[in-house]
Amino acid sequence: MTGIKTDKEMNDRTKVPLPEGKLGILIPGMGAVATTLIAGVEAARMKIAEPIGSLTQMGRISSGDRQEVKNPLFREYLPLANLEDIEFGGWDVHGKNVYEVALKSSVIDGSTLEQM
Amino acid sequence: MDGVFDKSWVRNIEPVKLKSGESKMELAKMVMDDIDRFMKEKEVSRTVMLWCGSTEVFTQLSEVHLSIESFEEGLRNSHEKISPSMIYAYAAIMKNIPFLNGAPNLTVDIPALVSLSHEKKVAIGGKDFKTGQTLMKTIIAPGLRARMLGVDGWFSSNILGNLDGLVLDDPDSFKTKEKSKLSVIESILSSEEFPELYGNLYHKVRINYYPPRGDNKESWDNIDIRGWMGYPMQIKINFLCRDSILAAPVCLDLALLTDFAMRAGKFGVQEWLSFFWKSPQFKDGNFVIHDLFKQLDVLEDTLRKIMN
Repeated sequence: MTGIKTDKEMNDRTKVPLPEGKLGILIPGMGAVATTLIAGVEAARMKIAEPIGSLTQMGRISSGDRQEVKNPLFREYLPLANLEDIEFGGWDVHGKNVYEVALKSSVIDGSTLEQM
Repeated sequence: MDGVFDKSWVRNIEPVKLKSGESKMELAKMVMDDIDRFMKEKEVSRTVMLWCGSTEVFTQLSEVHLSIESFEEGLRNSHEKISPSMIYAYAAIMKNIPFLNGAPNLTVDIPALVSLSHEKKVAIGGKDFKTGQTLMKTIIAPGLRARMLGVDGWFSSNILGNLDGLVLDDPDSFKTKEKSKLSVIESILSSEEFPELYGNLYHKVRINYYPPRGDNKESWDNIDIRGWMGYPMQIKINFLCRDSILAAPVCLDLALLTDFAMRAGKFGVQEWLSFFWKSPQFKDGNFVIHDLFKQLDVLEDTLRKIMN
């Protein structure tokens, strides 16, 4: 049950269609939470930060086999969309762009935002 | 993109750019057009919608929310009980896009939109991302209950200075939030099941807007507990948390798992994602699970069932 499965093996096992193409995440309310999400996904793609706190990215699902030292990662176990395949979009009423909002909410420091 | 906004639903925000339309139905159609344009321009094959907007003024279920027909009629007449978040949710579901409600707003927790999600075979879920103090509560309370320790009182106080805090300074928006925050303890520490332990539990939640802290929330919890032979003890939790830092991974997980659920053919209310919600939306009559560890069990069980 451990180890990274190829897409084909995964599909044979589940019949859940694979995530083909890109996934859009549309967000009404582009405030601190949304911009922190976008920055964190970008940071993980650039490998400058780990996606800490994310069950799908870092969590392991217990396989029920107690002899097994390591359980499989959720993202190995399930055919989930990759971070590279996500596109963000959203609505708000403040008329500012994502960078301006992220800077103003000062959740993430300016130099990290600049880097992205 | 310019948003749909209504001052009567979120009083402490001054909009700069917003959509205007003849009716709420027209606004919903404009959101649908935005969705189409986004999907075409970004060349995406699937989309999920995730509400990260403000907490709206408290509202209760009313006639207009009860059926798809009355809701659509309400959209055409710009019925006052239809909030901006409901307009987005309607637009998303009509476009076969799952809707996830990150605020404690009523939004998709109405029969009209639940029915529509079944008709369109779209996954929906909510409400209110489980972060901060409530996350801590659903970690601590199951432990106290597991050890059969009594709890007489749980006092929670918060300061926060972000937009969320400002909006929650409006008593009517706070009422929506308070409801979401209170039910957590009452369901885990059930006075019905354990009258000797939790029969007299007094639970109080305060939120105070305090601009100097920005997004960095601070919470204080005092828990009065009781042990063997009724001897009292106290637990103090002082959590210096970053609201958006805790919410962002929850957003990502919800988006990815809901996209997966759609591919697995699941639709309607996704109870198995209750792990991520402060106030999980459940199907009518189903008992709501708040205990974080039980929620994780349900999530894993559901995934194993789909995958095996």
